[in-house]
Amino acid sequence: MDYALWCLLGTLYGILLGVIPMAGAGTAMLLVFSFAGYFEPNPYYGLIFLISVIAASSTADSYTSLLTGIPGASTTAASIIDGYQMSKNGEAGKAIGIAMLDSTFNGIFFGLLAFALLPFYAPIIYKFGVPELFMFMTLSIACVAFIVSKNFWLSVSAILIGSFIGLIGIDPQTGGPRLTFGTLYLQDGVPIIMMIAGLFGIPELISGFHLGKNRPAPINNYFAQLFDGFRTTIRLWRDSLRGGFIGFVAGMLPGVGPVGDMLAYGATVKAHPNDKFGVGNPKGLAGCEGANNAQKAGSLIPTVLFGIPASPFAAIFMAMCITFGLDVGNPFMLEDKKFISLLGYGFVGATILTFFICIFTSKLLVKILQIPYWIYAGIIFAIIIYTCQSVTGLYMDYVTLACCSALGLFCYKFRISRPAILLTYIIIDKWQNKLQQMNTMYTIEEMLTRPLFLVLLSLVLILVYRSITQKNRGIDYA
Amino acid sequence: MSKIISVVAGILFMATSALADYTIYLPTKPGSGLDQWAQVVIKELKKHVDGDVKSVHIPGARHLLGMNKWNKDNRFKENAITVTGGTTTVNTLVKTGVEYDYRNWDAIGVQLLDIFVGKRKDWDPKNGGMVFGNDHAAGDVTGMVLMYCGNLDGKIASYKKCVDEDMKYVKGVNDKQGTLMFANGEFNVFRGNPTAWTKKIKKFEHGELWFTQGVYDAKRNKIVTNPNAKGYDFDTVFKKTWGEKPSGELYEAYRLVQFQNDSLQKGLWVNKDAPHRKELVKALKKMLKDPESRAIIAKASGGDYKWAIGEKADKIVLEQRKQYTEKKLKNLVWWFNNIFGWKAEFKPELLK
Repeated sequence: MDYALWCLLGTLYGILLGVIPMAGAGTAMLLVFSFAGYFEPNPYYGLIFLISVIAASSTADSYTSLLTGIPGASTTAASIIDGYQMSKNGEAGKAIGIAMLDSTFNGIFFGLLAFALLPFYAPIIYKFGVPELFMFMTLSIACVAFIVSKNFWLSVSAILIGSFIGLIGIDPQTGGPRLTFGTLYLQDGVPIIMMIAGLFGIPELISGFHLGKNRPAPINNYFAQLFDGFRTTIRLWRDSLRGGFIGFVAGMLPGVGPVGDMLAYGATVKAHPNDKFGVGNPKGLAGCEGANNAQKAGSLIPTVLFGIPASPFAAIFMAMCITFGLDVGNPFMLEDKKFISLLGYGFVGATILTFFICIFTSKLLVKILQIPYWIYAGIIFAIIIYTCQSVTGLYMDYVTLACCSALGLFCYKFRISRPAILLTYIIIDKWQNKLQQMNTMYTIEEMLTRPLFLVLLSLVLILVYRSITQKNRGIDYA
Repeated sequence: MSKIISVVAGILFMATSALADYTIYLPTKPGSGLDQWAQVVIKELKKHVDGDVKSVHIPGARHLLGMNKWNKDNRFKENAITVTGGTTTVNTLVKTGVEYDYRNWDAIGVQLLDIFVGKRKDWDPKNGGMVFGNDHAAGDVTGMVLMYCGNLDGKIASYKKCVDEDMKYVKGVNDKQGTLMFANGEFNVFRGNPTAWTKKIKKFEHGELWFTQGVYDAKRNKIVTNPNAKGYDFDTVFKKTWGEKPSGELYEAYRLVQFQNDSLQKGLWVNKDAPHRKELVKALKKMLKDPESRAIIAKASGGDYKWAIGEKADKIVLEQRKQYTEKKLKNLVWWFNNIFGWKAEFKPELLK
């Protein structure tokens, strides 16, 4: 019963934050940091709350995209292309119907697929020795840097920046301080919450002020249009499922998840060469809307098993779980049946709850969009500052947050991939450590007899080769 | 709607800054081994104190930042408590930058825990090729080297030769990585505290207990056999393996760091002469008499381990100092620097 209550609370909170422009799952969880301590006595309440926030905000952020043309979160930008156009054409209710059913269906289907299969991954993970883990991390960096950025050199810059920040702390090889500039504060590294708040939270909030002041499109004849939207989604089930599948696979690839909806939209356009898109075509909306939800489910797999968060929201999820005392990032988590079942039931349950809450409160949710942006931006900003200053309570918390925010704004302006910086920051220390461990434990001949190592190495080489030779890539997520 | 949001934000702020009757300053990251132990104990202790107990994490520099801040600042705050671990106490022996001294504090209580070392069933140490790691637990790893190499000629330098020539020591391995490396067969030896042993390592079918460090007996002031693992203490297993008692420079240094680590492995402290100590000691005693709390802590600790409470725990700090000799400390510094690549230093002030 308590779990159901936390699921409901997480769903309501996730819907609220999801509707706020440019907020989404990442910002919603970032704000939870400030009261993370309340979940320490029973971390599973925190877990179900978090997973409900993720599921709910992934669906609710469609309102902003569809009705105002401003992304509800950076991962729902594709929905605007045809969805906002539908709203402008007087089909806001229908667009909401498509978005709700599409998101719910993909959330349930891929949520079940991800979490039900999670325990079966353990035997595969035990095949990962030091060389395989090293190469998997290398592949993660290559994915995030070279798939979702148009400019090779900006990708390299992102890796270098992330590496520099990620290497600050204690060198695991020597036990001595590294790049700490003589401060004890930095010996534990730059706190992850500062990096997430600085790279994503604050820049997204500020960017919200520049995204125009569109009043939400009116919703007329709501329930008739809503059911028309449901029927349309059922008719377009192939587009919906394709979008979800692309989102799910993209979600599992570090850094690629946030552009899963754009990839899904691109695939829908290609699948219907005779259709016109960008004019309010329901196929365009059905083809990308569910990708966001499926991506969330997919992203949690490498996060839980390897500690390699595939998306910024997953990095926050991982940090939050560790704060609660749930040691995610290693296959031993799979032995925790309660953890796995709450993850699955929470995600699917909150997705269903969100569907019913949203369809009956659409008109109320639209009212949130009428509140001046500066009001909730101001509140979120204050909570982020409060949360970050409580890391140690020292003045260095403010200095670190200011530096990370400056970096985030700089990267946002100059299109340097922030997901690449975040992921490299998280894994570079482990990557370097694994490299040295690999040198201690294995010879090159031994490594070349390991099939999984060779497969991963080949993938890395292909990615790097393609990033150098391929001039025009369609996606750029900074 | 904007009013509702303001009220919600206001409640959130009030809730997060609500005053607690006791504040525990944890010198570690949330989710660390020390934190996990502390959260269980805090939860149980809360049931037996009048008032609330709030925890604040001060991570950084493997407990150094939080402990230095505690010693300099936080311990003087009203109703302040801190938590210490094995690393906290081993830091005082050889680490640079340690500004804290246990003698400035009073103990509420210390749980006297053990360290377990496991090995693969199919690996016979006599056949060589030990692959191992976990350098943050340098003391325990030293025990593995001793058990593997035997007494040699008693000189510490000979053990470096044994490490360099006959085993693969993998640096930069933490508990989580080490457990995975033991699980997938890359390591043939691994260590863990009783909790880790019970929860993870013990469950691997290919693993078995090799030896344990032993537990500190406050009455006899020495490390003795762990009642939860009889016959597996270091000295017994060593004698069984090598046919003689362990001895030599490295063994002496190991004994020092082992005593330091295990006699104060997990503890709760307040400032010297703090008025709230009496109340907390009373609460701790009540907690340990409560079968439900005791069972929960035993489950989290991997066994029902004894506690030294109040002044008895204070005495351990003084007993630790009696173990220090210039030779042992210098050998330890040499060992840590040459095998683990630390930047340890000899601290003559420890002998005063």
